[in-house]
Amino acid sequence: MRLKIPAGELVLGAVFAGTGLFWAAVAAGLPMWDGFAPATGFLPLTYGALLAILGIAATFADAAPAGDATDERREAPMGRPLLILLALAAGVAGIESAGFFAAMFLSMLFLFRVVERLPLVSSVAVSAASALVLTVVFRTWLGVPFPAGPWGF
Amino acid sequence: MSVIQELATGLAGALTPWNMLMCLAGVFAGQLVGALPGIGPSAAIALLLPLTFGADPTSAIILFAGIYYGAQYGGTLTSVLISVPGEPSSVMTSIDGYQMALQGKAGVALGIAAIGSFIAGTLSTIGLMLLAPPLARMALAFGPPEYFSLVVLGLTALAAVGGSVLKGLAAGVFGLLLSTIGIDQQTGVARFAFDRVWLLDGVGFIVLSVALFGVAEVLSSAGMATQRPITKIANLLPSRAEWKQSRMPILRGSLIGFVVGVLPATGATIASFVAYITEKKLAKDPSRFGKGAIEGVAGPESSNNAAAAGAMVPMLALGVPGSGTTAIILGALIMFGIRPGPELFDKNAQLVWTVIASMYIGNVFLLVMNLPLAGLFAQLLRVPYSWLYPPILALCVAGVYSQANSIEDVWMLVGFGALGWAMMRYEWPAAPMILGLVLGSIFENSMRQSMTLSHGSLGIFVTRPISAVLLACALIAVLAPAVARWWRARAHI
Amino acid sequence: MLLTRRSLLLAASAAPVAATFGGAHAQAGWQPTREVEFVVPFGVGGGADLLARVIHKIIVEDKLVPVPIALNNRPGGGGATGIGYVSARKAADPHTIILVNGTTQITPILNPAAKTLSEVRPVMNVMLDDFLLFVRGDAPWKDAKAFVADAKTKPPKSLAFATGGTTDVMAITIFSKATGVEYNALNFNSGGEALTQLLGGHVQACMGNPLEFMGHLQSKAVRALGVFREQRFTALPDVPTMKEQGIQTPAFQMWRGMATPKGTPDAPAKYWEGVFAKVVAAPAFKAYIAENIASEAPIPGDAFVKFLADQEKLYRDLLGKPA
Repeated sequence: MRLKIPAGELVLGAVFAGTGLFWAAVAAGLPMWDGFAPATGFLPLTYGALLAILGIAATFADAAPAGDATDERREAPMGRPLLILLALAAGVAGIESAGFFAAMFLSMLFLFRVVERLPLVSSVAVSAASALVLTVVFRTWLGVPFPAGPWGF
Repeated sequence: MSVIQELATGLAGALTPWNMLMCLAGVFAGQLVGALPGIGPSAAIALLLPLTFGADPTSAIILFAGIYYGAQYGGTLTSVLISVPGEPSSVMTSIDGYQMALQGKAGVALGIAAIGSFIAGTLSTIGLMLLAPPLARMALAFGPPEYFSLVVLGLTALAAVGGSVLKGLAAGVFGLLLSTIGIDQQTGVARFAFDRVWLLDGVGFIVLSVALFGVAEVLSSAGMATQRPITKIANLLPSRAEWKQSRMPILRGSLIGFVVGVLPATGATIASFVAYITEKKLAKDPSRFGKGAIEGVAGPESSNNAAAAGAMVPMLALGVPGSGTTAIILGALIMFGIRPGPELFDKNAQLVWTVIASMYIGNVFLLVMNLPLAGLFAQLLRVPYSWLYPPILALCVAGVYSQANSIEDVWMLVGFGALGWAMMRYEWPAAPMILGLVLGSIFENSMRQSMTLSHGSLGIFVTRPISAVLLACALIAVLAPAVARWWRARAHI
Repeated sequence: MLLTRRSLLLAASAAPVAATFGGAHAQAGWQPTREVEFVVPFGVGGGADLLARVIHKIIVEDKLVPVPIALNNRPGGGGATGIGYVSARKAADPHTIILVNGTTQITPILNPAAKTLSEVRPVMNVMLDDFLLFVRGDAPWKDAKAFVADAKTKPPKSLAFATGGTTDVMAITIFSKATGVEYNALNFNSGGEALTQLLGGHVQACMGNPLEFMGHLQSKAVRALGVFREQRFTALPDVPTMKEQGIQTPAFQMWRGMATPKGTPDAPAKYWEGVFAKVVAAPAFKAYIAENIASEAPIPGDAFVKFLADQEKLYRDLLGKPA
C-alpha cells in the first residue's frame, strides 16, 4: 500500500533532515580529534548525519497512515494555530518596548476578541487580571526584572 | 539503636514552633515556585538566602530543604492541569497526567501524585537516615566511564517513549544535537553559537519543555475544529482499583529516584525519565501510556521526589553537592559558618538530624496541603478552553523569561513551540527530544573525559565493573523486545 | 584580540577628558537620584551571585546610597549576556553597577564574539581567590615537589586533574609549564563535581579554590600540596607556596570586582569607588572573605585598570591566544 504523506509532515521531516545536514556541515569545520579523545566537532557531526538519515527515514517509513483515530488532529485546519502563534509572537515582540504587562494584555485581548470572539468586557477584564497576576507574582514577589513600558510598568 | 535516639533529638529540634513554621513556609514556597515554570527551587533559595543571614542555620536549612522537595510536588500541578511542566522533572508527568485531566481525572492524577510523592519522600528520607554513608560511597564510585554507561542506558529509552520508533529516535537525536549548542565544557570554546551571545549557554531544558508541551499543546488544542469538551470531574481521589495500579509504580519510582538522585551528576529529571520508561516496559499493555495511564504519573512523580531526598545524601554524608540546588544549600551552610565536609554527620549531628526530621514533617504538610488542593485545582478545567489558553500562553512567556531574564529565550519558546505543534500534529513524540537535550551534555563530556583518562582506549567502559553492568543492561533493554518478538513468533509456528 | 585591551586603556585615558567635559555638573560630587540597578551577569545562587548579594546587603543595610538598589541577574555566556544587556540598555548610565570577575575577562579571549570588560568602566577590585593543588588524603605525595618528581618518572599525561572551569585549567597550564610535565585535564561543571571525582579516586589531583575543598581539607580527606601565591596563606599556614618548593610559577589568583557601564563620567565613578571602599571595609564583608578563605584586595580606579591589563596578558599567554 502506498501511503500518502501529508505535505505538512514532509515539511517537518525536511526541517529535521535539513537541521541534521546543516549541523554536519558546520561540524565538519570543527576539530574532530584531540589527543586521546573526540574533540569539539566529533559528536555534532555524528548527530547531524544521524538526524539527516533518521529524519528522512521517519518521514517515509513511519508517516501516520491517513484515516486512523488521530485523524482529527492531523487534518485540523492550520489557520487558527497560525493566528495564535502570530499573536504570541507579536506579544513577545512588544515586551521590550511596551513592557511585559501591556504586551501580554494586548496579546491576550487579541486572542479573546479576534480569535475566539468572546464578549468585550469579560475579555478586557480577564486579560488585565491575568497580566496583573503574572506581573505581581513574577515581578513583585520573585523579583524578576520584566521590561517596563514607557509608562513605568 | 542510636539512629532512633538521633532521630528523637532531631524531632525534638524540628517540632519547635519556629522550626515547624520555617518548614511550612519552605514547603509552601517550594510548592509555589515548583508550579511556576522557569523559576525553580534554586532561584527561590537564592532569593531567600540574604534574608536568613544571622538567623539560626538549622531553621534556614529546614526552610531551604522544604523549598527543594516542596518544588517537586508543585511541578506536578501545572503539568497535569495545563500541560506546562513547572519543573524539568515533571515533563514526564505532562504526558499521561494531562491526558488524565482531559478525561476528567485531574483530581485523581494530582491525588496519586501527592500520595506517591509523600510515600517516596518518606521512604527516601528513611533511606537517607539509614543508608547515607554506604550510598555516598556508591556515589563516589561513579567516575566518567560509569556516567557514560548510565547515560547509554538512558538513551535506550529514546525509542521507547513515544509511538513510532523511528520518529522517537529522530526526535531524540534532535535533542542530542541541540545539546551541542554553546560553550563546550572540555575546551571552553563555543560552537554552534553563530556569534550570538545568548546561544553561548545553549538551549535551556525549561525553554524546550515548556515550548514542546505547553505552547504546542495550546496551538494544537485551540486549533482543533471541535472545541475541547468541558470535562466532567468524576472523582477527586483515586479509587481502590487505581490505587492498586499505582502501588508498585510508587515503590519502584521511589527506589529509582533515590538511587539516581544520590549520584551527583544526575538528578530528579533523569530519575523521572527512568521511572516512566520502567513503568512502560513493565506494563502489560504499554499502548495505554501516553493516553492517560495512571502508572505514568505515579512512577515519575514518586521518583522525582525521592531524587530530591537522594541528592541530600552526598551533601550530608560527604559535603559535596548532589545537585544544583544542594550546591546552593551547601553555599548557604558556608555562609552560616558551617564547613560542609565528610564529618558533617558527626560534627553537626544536631543540625543534620533536625533537618532530616523536618523532612518527615514537611512531607506530611505537603500531603495535607495537596490532597484538598487537588480537588480544588481540578475545578480549573471546568473553565472553557477558549478562556484558558491565552493566559496559559502568557504564563509560558513569563516563566521562560524569568529563568534567565532573557527575551531571546522567549523567542526560542515561540520557535520551538511552533516546531512542537508540527510534531504533535504528525505524531512525532516530543519527550525523546527533551531526554536527548538533558542527557546530551553528560553523554558527551563523560565520553571525552573517559577516553582522556584511558589514553584513547574504549576498554575503560567494559573493564570497570559498574560501567560494564550498566552497558549490559543497556544491551538487554535494546535486545529484549526483539528477542521476545522472535520467541513469540517461534511459538506460533 | 587587541580591542579589549585597547579600549580598556582608552577608557582610562578618556577619563580625564570626561571629567573636564562634565565638570560643570559634577563639582560638588555626584549622587544617585533614582533607583540603581545592580547587574549580576551570573545565575542566581552561584558563587558570583552570592558575593553580589553580600555587597547588595551591605550597601542597603549600612545605607551607603540614598536610593533603592535592585539586583538584576542576567546570566549566560560567561558574563557576556549580562554585560551585553548593560551596553545595550544602560550605556554610560551611572545608575548602573556591575559585578565582574576573572571569568568575564576570559570569555572574550576564548569567544571573540562576546564582549565583556571592553563594555564597562572598572571601578574597584574587591577580593582575590587563590588556587591550590589538592590530592586525596591517602595519596603518596606529601608536597608538590614529590608530586612532580613522581610525574616525571611516568609517561606524559599519566596523572589526571579534575577541574571546575577554565580558571582551574589555567592553573594547570601554569603548573605544567613550570614543571615541564604534561597532565590530563578533565573539565567538570563546578569545583564541587571536581572534588567528588577526586574523592572517588577517578583522578589523581584537583586545582581549585579553597572554598569547596575547605571542609575536606580540615577533615584530612584531601591534602593541599601547594598554593600559587607569593607568601603563605594566613588562614592555611601549613600549605607551602609553589615557589618555596622550587616550582617557579607566577602568582595566580582570580579577581572579583565592581564596574559601571562604559562611558560613565568621572564623578559618578569616584562616587561608586567611595561606596565600594566602604563595602570592603565593612565587618560583614571581612567575615565573608574569611569564610571563603579568600583575600581582601581593594584595588581602586586606575590601578584596577592597570591590574586588569596585566591579567589579560597573563590569561592570553596561558590560553595560547596572544593578543
